[in-house]
Amino acid sequence: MSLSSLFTIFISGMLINNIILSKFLGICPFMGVSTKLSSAVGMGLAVIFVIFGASVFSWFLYYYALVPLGLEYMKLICFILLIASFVQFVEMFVKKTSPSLYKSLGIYLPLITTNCAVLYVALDNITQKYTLVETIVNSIGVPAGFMLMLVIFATIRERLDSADVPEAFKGNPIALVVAAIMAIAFGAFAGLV
Amino acid sequence: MSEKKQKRSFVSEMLYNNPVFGLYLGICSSLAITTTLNNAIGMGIAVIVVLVLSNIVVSLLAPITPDEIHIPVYIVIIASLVTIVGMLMQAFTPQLFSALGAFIDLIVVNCIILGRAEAYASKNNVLDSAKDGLMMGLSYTFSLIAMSFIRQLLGTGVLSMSNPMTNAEIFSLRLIPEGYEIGIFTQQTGAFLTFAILAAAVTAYKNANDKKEVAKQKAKEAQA
Amino acid sequence: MKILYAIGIVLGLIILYVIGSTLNKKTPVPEGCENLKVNCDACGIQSCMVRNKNKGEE
Repeated sequence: MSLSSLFTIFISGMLINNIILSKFLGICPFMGVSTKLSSAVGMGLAVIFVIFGASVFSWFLYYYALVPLGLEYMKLICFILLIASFVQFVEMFVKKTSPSLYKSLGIYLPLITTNCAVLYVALDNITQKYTLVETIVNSIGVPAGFMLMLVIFATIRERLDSADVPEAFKGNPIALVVAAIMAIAFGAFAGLV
Repeated sequence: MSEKKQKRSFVSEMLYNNPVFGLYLGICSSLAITTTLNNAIGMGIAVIVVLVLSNIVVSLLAPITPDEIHIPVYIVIIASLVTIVGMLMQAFTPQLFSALGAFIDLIVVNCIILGRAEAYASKNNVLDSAKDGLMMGLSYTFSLIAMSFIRQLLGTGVLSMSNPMTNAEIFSLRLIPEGYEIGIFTQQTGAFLTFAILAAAVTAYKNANDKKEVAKQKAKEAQA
Repeated sequence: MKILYAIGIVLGLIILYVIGSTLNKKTPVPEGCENLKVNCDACGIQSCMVRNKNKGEE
């Protein structure tokens, strides 16, 4: 496990296998919250924190509780419950410690529980048989790619709002067309590693 | 208002309340797995099974579930059902299972299922809930098939289906001659584009229909 | 025996969730954050919980 292989995991999680453009996950919040730059940053940071925490906890739960007991098939049920409770604890913690942080992140936390990206990263770390360090790197890289997309997209969306779009394409359809074009652009990263 | 709704044909009802193109639910899986008809139908059936069973179980358990724990209970029910369906698919249709990959597991967080459990099944009786699950699942499958039909036809030029149990081919039709297919439709870009165009088409249909209804009402008022 | 462990783990996680959500509900929302709203007008998901909450408050 060299440094370069960790770097490969990070880059491929963030750019090459970008969770929105190549895995199509987390699209609901992607289309919903990406009209303003400030909310895109807030949502992105919240997702990075939750994915990171939830994945590390899931990793420990899997290798220290489920595997020794031979209950690997329970991973889906356990992970989704773990994620849901983790989000609750994080929300409470943020409320208590930092009102200003809550102001910028708080509203996005409940949205994240049902975000498929969180569950996907937790499960993916297990399927890829990542070690703890690799899990940590992967669970920062993937949401970093998510945040990158949110920020890029928010800036495009601000322009789109004033553009003259055909009636039927207004709102989500035109956003999807933009995503299609961005998928071509991100396709260029495929040869990076 | 309710009379008018009943008058709508089955197809327009399907378009109006379509969970994918109308309400934008479960977009993630519908973009990812619609590369072939086989995947779309397999995923659709898996979702129908989970949706119907979860609606039934939730509507049975809702009256005796305390309010504080209803979300974790629903999550456990849905996750168990998905695990069972995943195991069955792994055993009987291994090829389909590996093609769909993680998206079987991700049915758990498919907004349609938890949404229906909360909004409908927890307030209605077993029969209605099962019927609702079946309808939602069918229109979801219908959308998946529509998308995969376009993507497979334009992307590979071939429409084909095979029996997922034995991998024997059922039919395979080359409709676009070799060399003229648009490969990009099998990739991510094609998924986004197909979805955008279908969603816009549904919106356009709705807009046109609404206008027609308004015009009809005006004509009636003018007559009166 | 195995199945008891399985039930135990699931029950444990449910209890964890319930503890989390009740503690979360008890914690008061900090001052100035009572009427925060998600800016999600761009999204067409009509059955979204957050969206309905926003609509209801208006």
